[in-house]
Amino acid sequence: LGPLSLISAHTTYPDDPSLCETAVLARLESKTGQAVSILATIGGVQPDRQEFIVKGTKSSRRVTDFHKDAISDGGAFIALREPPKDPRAISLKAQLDDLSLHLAAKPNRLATMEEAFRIQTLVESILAKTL
Amino acid sequence: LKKEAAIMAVKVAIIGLGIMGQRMLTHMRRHQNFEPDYLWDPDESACHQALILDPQSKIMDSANDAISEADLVYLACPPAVREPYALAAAAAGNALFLEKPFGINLDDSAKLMAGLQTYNVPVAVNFTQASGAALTDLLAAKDRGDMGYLLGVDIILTYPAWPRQWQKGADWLRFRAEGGMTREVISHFLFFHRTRFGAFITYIGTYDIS
Repeated sequence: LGPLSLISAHTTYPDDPSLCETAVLARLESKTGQAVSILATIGGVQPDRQEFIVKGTKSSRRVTDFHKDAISDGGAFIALREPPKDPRAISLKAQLDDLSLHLAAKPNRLATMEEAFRIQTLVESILAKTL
Repeated sequence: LKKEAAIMAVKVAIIGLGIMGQRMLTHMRRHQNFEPDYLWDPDESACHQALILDPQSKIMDSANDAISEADLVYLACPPAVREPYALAAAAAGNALFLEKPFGINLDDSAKLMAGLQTYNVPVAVNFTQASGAALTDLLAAKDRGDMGYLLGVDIILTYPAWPRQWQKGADWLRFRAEGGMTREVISHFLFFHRTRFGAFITYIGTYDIS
C-alpha cells in the first residue's frame, strides 16, 4: 500500500468458520512510523459507530459515519457544520461526477483497478491474521 | 467508451439490483449524464423493487441483453459472479463501473484485472464513501496546512450486529468468503487514506515526531 505497511493485525472470527470477522485490531505504519490504527468490533447493545480521526499538530479532524465533520484543537471535538440531510446522495453524486470525468478520460478521484487491488490486498492481509 | 456516449447521456446497464444496485439506479436517474435504462438481476423480487423505484427502466431477459444495449455497465452483483459479466461487457466495448472488491479473492481479482486490461475500455471501482463532503473538506484543511503535521490516523468501528439492519437483504455480507466489515467499510477509509494522504505521509516522513 504505497507508503504504508501492515505492522500487525489480530482478526477474530466466530466458531462457525463460514461467518465473517467479529473483531479487528490492526496497525499500519508509514516508513517513518506514523500509524494508522484500526479498532473494529461487533456486539453489544449500542448504536453503529464509524469514526475516522486524522491527528495533526495544530488540529485534528474526526469524520463520523462518513459525513459528520468535527474538529479539535485540544478540547472536545466540535461539529463543523450541520450534517447533510441526505449524505449518501452527496457521495453518490460526487462519484457519478467523477465517473463522467473518467468516461471523458479526464482526471478524477475514482479508484482504478490497480488501486482497488492494492486495497483488497491489504484488507485480505488483515483478515488472514487471526489470534 | 463508444464515441456517441461521450457527447450525450451515457446508456447504463445495471447488473445486480440489491441494495447498491437500487441505490445507484436512483442516483443515476437523478444525474443528467446517465440513463440507467437496462436492468437485470436473477431475483424477480429485486427486479420488481427496482421497477417500483424507477418505472422508466426496463428489466431485460438476461444480463447479456442488458449489456448489449449499454455504453456503461455497472456491476453491483456479488463478487463471486462478477467476472463473466465484467469480461462480457468489456469485450462488447463497454465502460465498466465495478463495486469493490471486484473479485471474490486476490487470485480472482488479479485474473479479472489481467483480463480487463486486454480491452481498451475505461474501468473504475466504486468506493462511494471516500467521496463524501466531510472527507473532502478534511482533505482541504490538510492541504491548507490548517492541521499542522499529520501524526496518524485512528479508525474506530463498532456495530451491535453485522450485517447492519439495512443490509439484511445482502446475505453474503455475513459470510467470511465475501463479506465482513473490513471489506465493506474499512476498505473505504483505507482507499481514502491511500489516495488522498499517501503523498502527505511521504512528506511528513521528514518530520521528527519524537
